[in-house]
This record gives sequence, structure tokens and C-alpha cells, in this order.
Amino acid sequence: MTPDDARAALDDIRMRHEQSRAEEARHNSGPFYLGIVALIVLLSFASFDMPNPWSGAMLFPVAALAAVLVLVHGRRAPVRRTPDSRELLLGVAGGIALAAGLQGLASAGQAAGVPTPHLVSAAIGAVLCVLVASRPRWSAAARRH
Amino acid sequence: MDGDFDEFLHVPARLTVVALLAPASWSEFGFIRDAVGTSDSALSKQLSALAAEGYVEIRKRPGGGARRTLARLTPRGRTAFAAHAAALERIAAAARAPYPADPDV
Repeated sequence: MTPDDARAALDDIRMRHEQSRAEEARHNSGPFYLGIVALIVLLSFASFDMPNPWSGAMLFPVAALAAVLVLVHGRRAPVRRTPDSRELLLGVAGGIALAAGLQGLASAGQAAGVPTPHLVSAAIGAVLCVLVASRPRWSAAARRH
Repeated sequence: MDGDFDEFLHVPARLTVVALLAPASWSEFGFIRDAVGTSDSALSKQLSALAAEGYVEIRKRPGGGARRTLARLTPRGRTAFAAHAAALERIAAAARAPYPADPDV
């Protein structure tokens, strides 16, 4: 085993790690997952514009969609990985930032006299979800070319 | 040779499979096969060898209309892989290290 052989083996290990992570990112940003996440954002926020008991009832389809997401991922994902604490923290922070941004947008819409401000801001949020979640695919495609 | 260097793991086909499994909790057989660019039978052989050594756990489960085969590194496999990668780092670093000064010169 020469140092050059060791370096080549280490390069291959790094390349395989990257391959595994890229496959996970590619699968998780697929149209099915993006659609479900966008729907969850849309329904959750649109519920604020609905009268009771419909606003509360929206919790059920949102929970059902989240369950479908977890179930399908468990059955179909070619690479499964438990996110580390840093990734979890980033995810929670991203969710809070998105909710705060959408609430701000809805408040602005309400002040401007938009009849369904939360629905409008949720639609913008859903489009944002799709755009942000598509980024790993764009990066992967850029790397391939 | 470094004491942590694992001759069994260093076979290129096995090291590639283990390196793919390392970042994941579970990986699908089809993904590993396509990523390595090998045949079903060749991959089965490597996975069986790794499983026999206690480095890999293989699980078959229904999904998507057909049985899916999933593989993951066991804690023993993870430890062996980390030690082997560290040994490779030391071997590679040895070439970069400057020679110690000879006191007789």
C-alpha cells in the first residue's frame, strides 16, 4: 500500500459518500414530495381564512398528508438517513422563518384589503417551497454537466 | 502496515459498497448496484461476504409491488470502516510529512 494508493482509496470513499448524499437529495426533492409539502403549507395557512369548525378540521388532511409523506418515504427512498442535530435545527429554523414570513405577508394583505390574505400568502409559500426544495436537483444537474 | 488497515475491507468492490452505505441508515440494493455499476450477482456476493463478516445487515421487505432488498452498515462495520479510513489517512499523510532531521548529519 503506497501513499498514492491510500489517497486514491480516500478519494473514492469521498466520491461514494457524495454519491449517496446526492441520491438522497435527488429523491427527496422529487415532484411527489414537493407537491405534498406545498399542499401541507397551503392547507395549513389557508385554514386561517376559514370559519370554524373548518379551520380546525384542516388539521386532519394536513396530518394525513404528513403521514403519507413519511410512509411513502419509508417504502420508496433508495437511501435513508437520519438527519443530524444540525440539520434538524436548520429545518426547524427554516420552518419558523417561513411561517413568520407568510404571516407577515398575510398581515400586509389583510391591511391592503385582500379578502383571503392567508390563502394568498400560503399560495406564495407553496411556490417558494417548490422553488427552495428544487435547489438540490438544480445543483446536482449542474454538477453532472 | 498500519494496525487499523483492514485487508478484508480494502478489496475495491467491498470498500466501494461500504463507502456508499456509510452516510446512510439504509440503502436500497438497486441504488448500490447502479452506483457501483455492477451486476446483481456480483453485488449479492460482496454483500453476503460483508454480512458474513458482520459488517453489513441485509433486510428484505415488501414495497412497490416487489420485494426490496435493503442494506446497512452494522455498528461493527461502521467502526471497522472508520478505522480503515483513518489508517488510509495516516498512510497518505506519511508521504507528506517531512523526513526527521538526522542527528548524525
